[in-house]
Amino acid sequence: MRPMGKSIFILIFLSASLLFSRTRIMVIIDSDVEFDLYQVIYPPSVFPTYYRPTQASGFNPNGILLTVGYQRIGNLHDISNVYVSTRGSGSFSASIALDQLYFAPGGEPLPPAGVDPPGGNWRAFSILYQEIECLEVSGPGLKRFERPQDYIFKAESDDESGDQSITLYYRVYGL
Amino acid sequence: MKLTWILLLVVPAVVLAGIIQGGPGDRIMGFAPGDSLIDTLVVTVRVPARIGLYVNGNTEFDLGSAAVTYPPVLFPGYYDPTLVGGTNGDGVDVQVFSNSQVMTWHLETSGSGDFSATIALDQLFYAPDGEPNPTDGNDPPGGNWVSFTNAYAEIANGTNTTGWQDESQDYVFQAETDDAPTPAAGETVTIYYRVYAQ
Repeated sequence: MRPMGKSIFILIFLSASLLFSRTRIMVIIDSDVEFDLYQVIYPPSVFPTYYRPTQASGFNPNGILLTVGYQRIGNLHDISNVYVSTRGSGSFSASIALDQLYFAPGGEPLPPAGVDPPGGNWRAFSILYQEIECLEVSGPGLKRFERPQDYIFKAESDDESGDQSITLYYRVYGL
Repeated sequence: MKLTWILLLVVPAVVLAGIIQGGPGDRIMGFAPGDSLIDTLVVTVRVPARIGLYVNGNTEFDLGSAAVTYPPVLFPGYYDPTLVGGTNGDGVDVQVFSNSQVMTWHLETSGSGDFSATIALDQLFYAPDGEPNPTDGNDPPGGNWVSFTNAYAEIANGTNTTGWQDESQDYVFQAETDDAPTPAAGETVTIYYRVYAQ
């Protein structure tokens, strides 16, 4: 076999071996989220006031159901962890900043009005990825992890009226 | 030869790696190491254009109170409230809210009518919180004091308020020489505040 042909053969073989020794990863988000302040008491008597979503996941009415999973394929594996992180695309508007949207693991209590920051496990979204979880990869078979994420919107005194949307990103990768 | 080995290491990773994206309901899958899965959702915030008004509370002028000197040395005499319902000791708490960028809000007030046949509605005066009391003997009281009427009069206006804007109002009662004694329960009027935007 000529050197060039040998190289191509090794390339194909290595690619195939990587394919069959890698870890399959997966992610599912079940819903968009809406905070419709037409449906609640607005304006609040005290600013800031925190609102739960008015439209969200069927499984988690306070946000979304985030499902992350992995499945080891073959015997050789070179990742030990799966990382999950999130970020937002940018501000809702000139007067409504991205960091008025907070996330926390499902079940986090609603912060009382007038408290800023909200405390607890609430974290403000930013345009930079923030790690939510690091899952250790181990064992055979498909592993699924359901991670409900709660959201709250912080209404501030200078929020202008209007309908505004942003995109949230959830990134999953293995190392 | 070196180039061959570099290609052998790099090409499979490049060929097999990628960013795989999706949205709500999509089952996104890939392989690690190499792939990054990016799932997205849309968050919408709907903030209504609203106006709001907060008023607190009832106010009383008890000129029979031991703490009050009545009759005054000079008429008309001006008296602060002896009892208030809110946090403004000289009158009422008033707050206005508007988050509209395009409309102008207007805060107005009026009174229901005279206290009695001898005590007219216009013996009750209002001014922005903090206005110094008028000097006895001066009529009208001057400063920013405005007498109530049964027609709405504008107190303030503006565009968006940045939350609840304080528009608290102080009151003084102008005692005149012909004020007849009231029943023990006193004479009462109703003061109205209204906010609208246009």
